[in-house]
Amino acid sequence: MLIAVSARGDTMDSAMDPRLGRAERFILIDGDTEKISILETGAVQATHGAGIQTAQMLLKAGVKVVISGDCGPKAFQVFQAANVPVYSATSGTVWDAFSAWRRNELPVIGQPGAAKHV
Amino acid sequence: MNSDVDIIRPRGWSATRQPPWIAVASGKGGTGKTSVAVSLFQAARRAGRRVQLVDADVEGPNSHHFLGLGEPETIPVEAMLPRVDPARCTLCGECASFCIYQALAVLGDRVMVFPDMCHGCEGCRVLCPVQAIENGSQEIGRIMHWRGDGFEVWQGRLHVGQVLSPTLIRELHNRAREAAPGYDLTIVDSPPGTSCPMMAAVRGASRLLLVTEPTAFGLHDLDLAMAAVRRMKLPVEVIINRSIGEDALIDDLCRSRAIPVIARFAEDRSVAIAYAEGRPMIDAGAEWAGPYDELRRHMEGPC
Repeated sequence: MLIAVSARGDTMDSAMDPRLGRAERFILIDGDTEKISILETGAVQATHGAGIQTAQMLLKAGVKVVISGDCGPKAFQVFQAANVPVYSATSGTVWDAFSAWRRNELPVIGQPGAAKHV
Repeated sequence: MNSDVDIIRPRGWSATRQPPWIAVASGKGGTGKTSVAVSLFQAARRAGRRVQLVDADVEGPNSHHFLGLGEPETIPVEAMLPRVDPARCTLCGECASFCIYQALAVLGDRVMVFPDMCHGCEGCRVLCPVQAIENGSQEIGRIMHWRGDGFEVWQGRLHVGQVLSPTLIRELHNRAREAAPGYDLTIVDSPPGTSCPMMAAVRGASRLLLVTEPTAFGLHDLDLAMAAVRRMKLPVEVIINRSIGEDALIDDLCRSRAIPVIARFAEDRSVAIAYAEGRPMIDAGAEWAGPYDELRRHMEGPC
């Protein structure tokens, strides 16, 4: 099972990124082997619908669980339609967020946050 | 020197010319566009002219507050929204990757459409390799229409969350344009700013009035507005509102751009009071009838 954590850097020790749609990259962790890979989104450049774009990218990569800070209404709709839960972590490293999720300590986002405009 | 000064020539003075179509705009918000537009409209009516007012500030329409009109006719305005036929769709993703507004998302088993992202361009429908997309529609806003003795008022109201202001403004223009030959004058109240909605509201005017105020903010945004409309080759004139007799800031800019300042309206507490009570500037006191009749005469003459 593939778990995606929005990240500021490209290792498990990097700070997690509380943004979802405009996170520059996600660290994808294979929950069984704990192998990691990096997904560069490029979505930060999108003028509109960064969340929708990022959500599609994650789904295409086969992600089954998303860990980020927050999730906007449109990305939320996409994940919901695909039955992919989004968990909320607000700070710390990617490793902190991933282990907190494994210990069942992260709240699942049930309601989307406010739409973000740039 | 002065290489960016436009030589502006009057247009449309042939024998078959359309009645004047005057856009009232500004860069800055709150300079008094609506007050001027509505006051000019009332001045024209009082002079016995047949006149149309088009409130194109579709994201914040408020001209009706000054006019005490009755119940309007309501005209819904729709824009194209893709409708995906799941039986035909192969989930190839062409539509979603084409749409820069991310109005479509392709998931493993379906295509999602986000109505408030869609700009109605129909690109997805045209590109779909299996013709799985057809033109649906969504209501983006409404036009309020009042008709009275010798006048018509058209007002656009964009629905909350919608982004297609220019589409609604174009539809407003189409309606008023059709009725224009029956009127001596059409006045368009433009949205503030210098982006797409303002440009859509100003487009097609025979003449443009920029309303500004003698402050650094007014100056800055007037400069932007002048730059925004430069390529339209419109005759442009400036009104300085809330003048306290120290307008050099604005005068200097207008001189350097060869744009005439055609009126100065004095800062006047009674205008603010009238505004708060829902009366336009022209009704702020007896002393305002004269200046607005002068402005009306000027706008009826050559530019």
